[in-house]
Amino acid sequence: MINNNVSFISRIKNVDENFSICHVRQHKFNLGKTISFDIEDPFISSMEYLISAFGGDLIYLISRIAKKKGIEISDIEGVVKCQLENSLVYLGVIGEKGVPRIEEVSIKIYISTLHSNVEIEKVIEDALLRSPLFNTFKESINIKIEHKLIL
Amino acid sequence: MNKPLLVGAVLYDPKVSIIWEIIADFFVKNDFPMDVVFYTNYELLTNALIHNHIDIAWNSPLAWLHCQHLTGSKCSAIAMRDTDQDRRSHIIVKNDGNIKTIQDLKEKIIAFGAKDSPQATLIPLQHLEDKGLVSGRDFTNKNFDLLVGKHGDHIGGELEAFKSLESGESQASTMLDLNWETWTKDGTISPSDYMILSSTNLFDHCVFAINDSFPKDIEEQWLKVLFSMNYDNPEHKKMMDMEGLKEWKKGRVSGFGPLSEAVDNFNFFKE
Repeated sequence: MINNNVSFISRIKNVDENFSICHVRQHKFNLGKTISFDIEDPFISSMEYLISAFGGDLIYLISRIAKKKGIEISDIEGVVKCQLENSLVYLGVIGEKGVPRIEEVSIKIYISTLHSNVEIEKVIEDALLRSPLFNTFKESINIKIEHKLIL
Repeated sequence: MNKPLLVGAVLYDPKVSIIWEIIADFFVKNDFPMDVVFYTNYELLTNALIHNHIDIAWNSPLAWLHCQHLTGSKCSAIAMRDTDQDRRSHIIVKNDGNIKTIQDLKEKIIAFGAKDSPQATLIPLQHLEDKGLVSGRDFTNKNFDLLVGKHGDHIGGELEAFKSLESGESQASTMLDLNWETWTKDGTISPSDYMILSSTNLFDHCVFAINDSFPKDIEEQWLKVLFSMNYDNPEHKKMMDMEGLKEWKKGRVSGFGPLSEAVDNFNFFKE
């Protein structure tokens, strides 16, 4: 039986307490704290990369599947929000209980197209079937996906 | 000094951790290793201080009195924000002419913050009592107990109390003067529709507290670094704006009279 699993590697080198450098294939990028509560933090946090990956995965797949089906999408954007439970536990606050975890991810996708909502819904359905991130996390996180067609 | 000095604080909002990160970084940059330990409530923080698990506690006024109570006054208030000094709480009513004097609050419902909030419950309750109005006898007390244990640090209780007044559920609400100033400026409260019926005596708010056994030389070094924070320095300004101060002041204990009177009167620290 042929195994079609693929592996991915990221090497993460800590620079100081505020950020690390991640090396993936021939690329590298800075990675900040797990979560940043500081709007002026110069580094992108793990949480922000994660929710961006959630949204990016779907946006990419919707665009690609639509193109293959001959459905023209002139513009597509997504907004991803997540809700973290027990953030004070993450900060090590003595006396706080529970575990810090993402309770809910909501993804809103804005699609500019002249095609019908039924056609777009089918594209999104196919994208969800093929999305590795959605399928990995859908059992453990409440993921809400909405879309809105705009002209 | 190799081992970092430990400062304890109650954390009710993760964003507040940024303030403490900036303060700790500032001390480290000034060759004074310091770390911050967060607690979920003042009871845990107070216990940590009196058992020497931490060196310094950022105490609410109630936690300060509790430390004094538990140690037999063997702790000291060493520093505070300029804005911690000379605060007042206000009793707010609608500006519709129905309530003109504090005596008009008889048989009315008054909305307070969390039951352990010095500024939104304990001091205003004592103030009303000083004016002859006793809770339960002369008026109905409606507490908004948001995050009890955090001594009203979270403004949510005061805001809920005001909303109760706004909706007509209560006929008065209590709040710290700084919140009245902020909320009448940012549109939360329409200043033409509400008025300050009465204000409490002046009182002081948070303090950095230590046990009296804390080494004097280290206390002096720590305070020297703290007092060197400068509002004109953009890095310090960010933290000072978030924490609501322009200058750190030497701690004083003369401003805890109104709360002390309330705590004694209501037997708040009953064993």
